[in-house]
Amino acid sequence: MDSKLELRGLTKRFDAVGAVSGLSLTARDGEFLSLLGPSGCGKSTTLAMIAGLLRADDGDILIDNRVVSDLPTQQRGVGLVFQDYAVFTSLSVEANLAFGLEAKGVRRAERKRRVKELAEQLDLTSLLKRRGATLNMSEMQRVALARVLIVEPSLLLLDEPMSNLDASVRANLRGELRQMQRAHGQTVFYVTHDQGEALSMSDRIAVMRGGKLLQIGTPEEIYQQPISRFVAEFIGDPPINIIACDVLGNDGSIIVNVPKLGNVAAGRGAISAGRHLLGIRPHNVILERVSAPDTMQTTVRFVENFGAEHVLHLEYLDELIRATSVPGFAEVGAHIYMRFDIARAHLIDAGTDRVVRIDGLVKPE
Amino acid sequence: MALRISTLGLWLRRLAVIAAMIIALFPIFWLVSTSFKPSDQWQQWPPVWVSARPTLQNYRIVFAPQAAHAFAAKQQGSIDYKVSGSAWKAFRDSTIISVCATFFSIVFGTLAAYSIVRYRTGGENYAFQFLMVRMFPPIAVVVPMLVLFSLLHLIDTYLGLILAYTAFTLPFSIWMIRSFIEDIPEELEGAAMIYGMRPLQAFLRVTLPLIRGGVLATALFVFILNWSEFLFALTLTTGNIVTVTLQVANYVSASSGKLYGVQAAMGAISTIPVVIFGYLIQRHLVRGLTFGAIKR
Amino acid sequence: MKKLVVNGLRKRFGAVTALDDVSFGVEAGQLFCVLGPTNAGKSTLLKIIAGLYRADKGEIDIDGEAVNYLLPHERQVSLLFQNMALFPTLTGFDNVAFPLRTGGVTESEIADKVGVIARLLKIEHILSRRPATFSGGEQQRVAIGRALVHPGRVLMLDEPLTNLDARLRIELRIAFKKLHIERNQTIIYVTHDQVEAMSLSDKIAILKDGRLYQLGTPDEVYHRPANRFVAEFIGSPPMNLVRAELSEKDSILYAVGNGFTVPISSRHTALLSASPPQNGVAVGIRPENVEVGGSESPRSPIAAKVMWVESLGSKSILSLEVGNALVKAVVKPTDPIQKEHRAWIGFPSQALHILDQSTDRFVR
Repeated sequence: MDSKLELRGLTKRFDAVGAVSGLSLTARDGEFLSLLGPSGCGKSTTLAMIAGLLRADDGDILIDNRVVSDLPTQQRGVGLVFQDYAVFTSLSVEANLAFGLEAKGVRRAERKRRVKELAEQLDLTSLLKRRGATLNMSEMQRVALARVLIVEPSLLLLDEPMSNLDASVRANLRGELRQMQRAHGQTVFYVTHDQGEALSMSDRIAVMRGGKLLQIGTPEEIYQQPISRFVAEFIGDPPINIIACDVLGNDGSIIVNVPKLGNVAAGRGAISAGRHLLGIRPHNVILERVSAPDTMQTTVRFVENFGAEHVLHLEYLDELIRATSVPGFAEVGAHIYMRFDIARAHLIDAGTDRVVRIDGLVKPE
Repeated sequence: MALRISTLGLWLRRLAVIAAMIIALFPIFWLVSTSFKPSDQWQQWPPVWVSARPTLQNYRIVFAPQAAHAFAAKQQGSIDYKVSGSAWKAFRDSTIISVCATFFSIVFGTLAAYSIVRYRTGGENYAFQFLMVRMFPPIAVVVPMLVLFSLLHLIDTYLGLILAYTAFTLPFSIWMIRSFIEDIPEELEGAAMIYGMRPLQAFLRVTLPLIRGGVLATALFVFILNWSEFLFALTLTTGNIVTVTLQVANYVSASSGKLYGVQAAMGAISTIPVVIFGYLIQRHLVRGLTFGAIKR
Repeated sequence: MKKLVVNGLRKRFGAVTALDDVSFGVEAGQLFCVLGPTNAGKSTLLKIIAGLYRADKGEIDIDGEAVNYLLPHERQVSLLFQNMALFPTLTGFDNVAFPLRTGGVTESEIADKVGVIARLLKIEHILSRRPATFSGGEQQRVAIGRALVHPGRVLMLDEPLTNLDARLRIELRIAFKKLHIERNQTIIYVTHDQVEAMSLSDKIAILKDGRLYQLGTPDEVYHRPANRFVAEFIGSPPMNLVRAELSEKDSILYAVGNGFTVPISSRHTALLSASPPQNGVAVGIRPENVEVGGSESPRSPIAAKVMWVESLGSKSILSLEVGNALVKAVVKPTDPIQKEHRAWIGFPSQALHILDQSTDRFVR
């Protein structure tokens, strides 16, 4: 698979937030790669450097295996869409779309044809004659996107393009963007802080924090095998539950003990004995109406009703554990029983915050 | 080659700025220079730029006509000046009228602007309609004003001129203050109202302090208009009230002769209050107070 | 007696109708959500209830008494604005304390109350600074604090969580819920995010272009949407709606669409016979109710092409092409069908909703 975009040791030093340090990754040709992280993690800075708007302090950027770190933006062959769309307000939508083509010297008849074609694909045909200033946010976003797509850049850089839109509009546009990308085969580098968006749209996700790349992988890999506490907590809605546990044993042979549930797992893991953490996703909390082996009793404090499923907030020691349930399973104040699907839990080393794998996982006696 | 052209461009720009400055400041220079000239140099051609024989006589005449009279009698070859009225009275009258008229104009203007912006009083273009009132030349209404004022016994009174000036600067006050109020989101007053204040209270204590700079700038502008107003001062007074502008005119008249030097002295001095006012409030003309409070 | 009753509200701004005959009631202690897209009139609604705008028509009652003619501070409500409206010349502390200062509360009580709220919202460290120095999230939290410190009879929040990071949003959502339950505070919560609305509300009013599209509990708007807009707005992914014609065969009514034929339940049959649709129907089915299988079977008789898959970790969403329509279905994350190009799906009749195309309303 061809490398479309490669970052080698990319570094940018800032006094304030947004610095990037030693970022290395490769985006393959035709891939939809998301750069995901909280505000200030350096993702927008990274994008600005790839686009050529910011100069890196260290490291290289390669597009199509060619070093572009010293090239100005217009020579890098990229398309950019930002949070603030910068649609030309005094021009019509049609003129906006034709803009880039005109700048490249495309003939008039050809311009018209391509504008018409793209407008159809992005559902903009009815807006072609409207002036940029009269559009609402969702329309502006599509126009900004279309304006970039029409010059058919092979690498598309998007910086939180949907953060200004209503939740429902966002959901629709995600699908449209993905469809377009598949149809045209562009490589997309998408910056966002919304983990749901990243999971939904990407072929792979790169998780960033404090300027560093923490983990890169497919949505399934990131979700099922987070390498650290931060990644585990950042990905997943509802968020993962993190509870204290005790690890007993030595020489790699360990037993995990959870307050109120006792010994829940045994196996081999590279972790020293002591107080550590266990991450359990709400979908891996198993609920019963009556007492069953290995369960503990709990009370429902809150219920979030999402229609298709409920999220119950259950009392556990002095915290609340989130668990998903079918609608109508329990009401506020109900006493039910819960246990954890240990095979899917993540043991987290409290000292390093890294997820430790347990091999040969068995249920202890 | 490129370098030379850009340097040329730089010098041309500098030249243009200097030329503009000279044109703008020349009248002031001429005023001050003439104010120190002895009478024979007032109308000399070629013009005397800076007098070799500067004198304070013109200023004496402005401030103390009697003493000047005595001085002139003692001097050889100086004209006898017959000047009525002292500049002190002119300054006093102008100050009273200008300050009061500015005050009323700003107060009414602010309240009117508040009403127009927050309550949409008068419809879409009300403020603009006010402004249109000022688009015809004042001389067109001078005669009706004269008639009206004389019916109301307002001729040659402080109140008369104050009302006239207030009326004629009100459109500017409303127009300018309106734009400052519009800059402040109404949610700010809304928050104050919900959390305990009455509507007008919310405006006065939350919004007004934020537009302080704009209001003061408007006040300065209105003050300048009032201070330099001549037409109404001329027509609506009959001699008891003398504004600075009238006094300046008095120095070139049938009764006193053409006392250009004195006129220049008076003119030079009368710019001072405006300059002081402007200097005092420049600190308040600072924007940026609302930065961060409002999400845009 | 309801805490707040709004009846027949109408408001126009020039040629634009912001609210058109909006009526609803809020019980004491309820968390009532006004949900809708941008420009639905939600903010205008809150401002009218608070007294900042006057409605052209309609009444507003709080605790049984009409408040239409009361000034904002007389209505004893609290409002958090969408654009926060923090007082720029006051410190964070003074901003939050503002509602208490006009009520004759002692300084030490003020310090206490502000302290509790500041701890809850994690803003203690910025209380001494001015809004100009706050980040977007901090500004939002200070504004929330100001609204919460003296909530009054009805606490109104206009999109309080929109400017915050996803993590903080989830944390604060629960904090609101907690607050609401512990203090039995009547809350009106405005948002465009249906997830928030579903999670928090006792009751939801769905507003679009100034009109009320449905009023009901989360279960009602989810399981029994009244019209197309509500069905497509609530739920992620939203309900699938596919055009179909009704046809009868062997005295059973079927919905026939491009690429599928599904039987209609007897209940729906009775309703449709009573008032037949003029312009065809649309069948509605939520993605989690779509049956998905690897081969043709009685439960999944409809052929479909798998266009793409979204793996969201806890579930996967298939986008399937049926005829010329796109249908989304939810499957378990481990379901092998995700890797296939073809699938077989089914629309169980008990989970089917029937929409009358001429009115865009569901037949119930």
